[in-house]
Amino acid sequence: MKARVVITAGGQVSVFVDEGTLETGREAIERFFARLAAQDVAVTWDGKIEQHRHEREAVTAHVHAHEGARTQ
Amino acid sequence: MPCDAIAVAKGQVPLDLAHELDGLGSEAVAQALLALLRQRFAHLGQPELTPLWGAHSGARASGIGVRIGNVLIHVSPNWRVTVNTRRRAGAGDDQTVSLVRDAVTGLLTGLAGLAIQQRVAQAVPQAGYRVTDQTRAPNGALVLSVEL
Repeated sequence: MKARVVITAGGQVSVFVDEGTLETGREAIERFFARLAAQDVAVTWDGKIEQHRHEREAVTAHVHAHEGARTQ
Repeated sequence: MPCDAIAVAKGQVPLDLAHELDGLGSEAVAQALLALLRQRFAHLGQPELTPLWGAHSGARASGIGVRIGNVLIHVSPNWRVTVNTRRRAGAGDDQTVSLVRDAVTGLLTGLAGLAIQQRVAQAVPQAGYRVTDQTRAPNGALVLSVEL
């Protein structure tokens, strides 16, 4: 499961899971933070998971054709 | 950073500057301090490490001591920064002392930030994950591509 881990100089650690489902992503993130803690890197996390991928909205193109004023 | 992720979590490693700087060691910090002073304050002269002595006790003070021009910098073992003039302050020395103090404090904060990034980055493969790429974002964040 592909993911990106972003570490800021202020100590924030963000995990972006790019594959799977929200549920498998949650499990992978929980496992990831637990394994980091076992390596003596304790990440405080409130347990919240956000989803940044949304159903693509259908894009419709509206074409407005106007009769141009004809000049003679 | 463009984000189209399925699941996103944001955590925080407790930030303990002293702990991170302890991990780097005083020699590495001293060398970084000298490099900073050479780069940013070359007009003041050549920076040099110098022993420091307690003003009241007369005993040798621990920590890092650096002198550059009329400025004396002391970084204590618990990473407190003190900057003073070595002799009577001349015109503009107040501003110089202030600029040097801000620069040294900024350096220590930056070094601690780099140290915490490296510590987390090293823990990822140690935790059994394969890191396929490592880049740095424009804001300085370390970005690891990982197989979870």
